[in-house]
Amino acid sequence: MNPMPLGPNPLIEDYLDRLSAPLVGVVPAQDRLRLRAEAGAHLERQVERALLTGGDENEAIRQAIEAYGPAAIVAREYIETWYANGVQGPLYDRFGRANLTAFSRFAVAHVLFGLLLQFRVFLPSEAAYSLPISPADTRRFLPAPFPVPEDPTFGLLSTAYLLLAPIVAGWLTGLAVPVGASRSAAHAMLPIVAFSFCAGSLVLPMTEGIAFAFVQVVYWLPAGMLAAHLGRAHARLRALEGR
Amino acid sequence: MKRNRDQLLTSNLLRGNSTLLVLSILRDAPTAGFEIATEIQRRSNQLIDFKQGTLYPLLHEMERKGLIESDWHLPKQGRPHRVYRPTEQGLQELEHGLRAWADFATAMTLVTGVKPEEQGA
Repeated sequence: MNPMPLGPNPLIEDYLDRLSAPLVGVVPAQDRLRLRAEAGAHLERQVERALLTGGDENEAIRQAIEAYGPAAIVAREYIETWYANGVQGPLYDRFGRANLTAFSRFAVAHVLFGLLLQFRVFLPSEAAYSLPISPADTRRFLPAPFPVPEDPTFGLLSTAYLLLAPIVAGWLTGLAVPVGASRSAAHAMLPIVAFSFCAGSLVLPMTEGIAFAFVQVVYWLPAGMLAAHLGRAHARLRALEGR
Repeated sequence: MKRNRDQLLTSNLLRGNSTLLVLSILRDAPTAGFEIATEIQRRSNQLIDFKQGTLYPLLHEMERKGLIESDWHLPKQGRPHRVYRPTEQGLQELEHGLRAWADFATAMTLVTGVKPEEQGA
């Protein structure tokens, strides 16, 4: 004899909906449906067992759900387990997949800014300059930028990049990292800032390097973390809306 | 006092040994998640208390690692449920883990001078 009523119980289905919702857009549909089916079977068997000893069905369902755990906590545990084991490899094992994902975004942003500065320093705005030695050798003798006519485009471009880069990198991190995106952004920024301070110290008395490191601490870090958080929220919202 | 013991079992010790607990249950017979959860609680005299839903992320992770495998069981009534069983690799992991656990328990007993049954009484 099966004491469960025919058809899905609305209380259990509501719980399963809340359990599945955070997984949308993070866990592949096949795994999500499997977890939902297993959770449903688990709860129904728990309720069956309680009803065999007598008692109210709604109370049995409430107790079964309580024993199973809050939907948000179970879902989060599943996401973290799934994500932590999504890709195998020594680097991922050592540093964490989310941290490496975030690091790749912020490192690219950092390197691109470095290239932009190099371009600004070494590319003459007029073609009248010819370099007899390599730019690296030139820099040893002339640490300051070449006295080329200052092109306002470069200044504008580098300032805009400086402001937008952490936002874009953080946003892309948020889209790619489903759990703890802002934390991963912070983890990724730490070695980059340390590198900037070291590199900035090496080129003293030129202060641009140190200044860039300070900008990374006071702006890139919080802006990147916030953008990662918002990117994650956006990805989740988009997944829930089924866009 | 009991609350402190429960917290200890559910947080620190359980976290590192949950794979062993599951494999120990599955070693006896292929089992569904519901029975695994209730059996762990029953065999531990309810000392191991955890939210049963958190068992499934662990089961799926163990399956990805090749320690267990599963199939859908389709009953005539009720929802289909998945039945898990250990793989050869899982049984080897269990054997290795139990040996390590026994060594650790022996070492703890020798150092502290307290046997588990004395502490549990």
